[in-house]
Amino acid sequence: MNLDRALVVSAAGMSTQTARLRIVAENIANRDSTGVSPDQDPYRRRTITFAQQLDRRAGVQLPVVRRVGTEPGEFPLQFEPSHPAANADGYVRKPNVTSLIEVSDMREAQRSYNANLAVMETTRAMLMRAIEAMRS
Amino acid sequence: MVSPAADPISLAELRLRWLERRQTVLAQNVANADTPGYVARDVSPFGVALAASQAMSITDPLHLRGTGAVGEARPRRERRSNDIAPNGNSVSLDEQAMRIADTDQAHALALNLHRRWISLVRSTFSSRGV
Repeated sequence: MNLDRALVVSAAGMSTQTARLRIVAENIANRDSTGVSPDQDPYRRRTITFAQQLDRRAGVQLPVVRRVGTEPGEFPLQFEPSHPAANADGYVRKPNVTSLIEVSDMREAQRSYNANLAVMETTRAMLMRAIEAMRS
Repeated sequence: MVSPAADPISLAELRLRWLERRQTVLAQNVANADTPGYVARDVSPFGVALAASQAMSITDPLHLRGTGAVGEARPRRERRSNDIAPNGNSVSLDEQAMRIADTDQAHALALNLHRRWISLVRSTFSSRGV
């Protein structure tokens, strides 16, 4: 039945957005996680990428998480001489997490999640209507 | 052989099957709204699908019969280049929402037609049975 496949693909969309939201939460939670000594790296921002994958049984392109990686790039320096992880010049390497980017990523994930939910509701309404037609 | 859409009930059934297929394709578009390189898809319009299901006429018993499978209409990639995200994704959520609302409405209409026609057929039986 086709409508079941629609529900399956919407559920897959919601689960990838949930995975993305989890990564965002991880980044925001660790935005102040520095190392404990000058030679130890602070938290490195994690990234998530999606890919489409053909589900042969259902015949639909399901979105899947392709890879959870880390963002390369420099750690910003902050002057904090009393910090245990401060180097000889008094600078501490902070995680390369930017709150603004994380928040906009979170908003996008939320929007996509809601869109999938709305599709699911419509599909469910169509299914219920078909079941109702059988009853009369 | 009777044409697959000769009576309203069959027509409504073909329409419902096509709408279910379309809903699946639209759900797939929304689910992949953030997948890099994904191109939005849609099934061919119902008129085209209907004509395709009736296109093969049989004039000889050895001819292959058309399957009349409107429900199996293949989703096609849409060739539009106006709003493609930098990652190659061409799904516009607003447009998909419009199409889903359209599909929902058409589904209600087709199902109502189906139901009304069946009750019409049933009423002829009951008036004769009295």
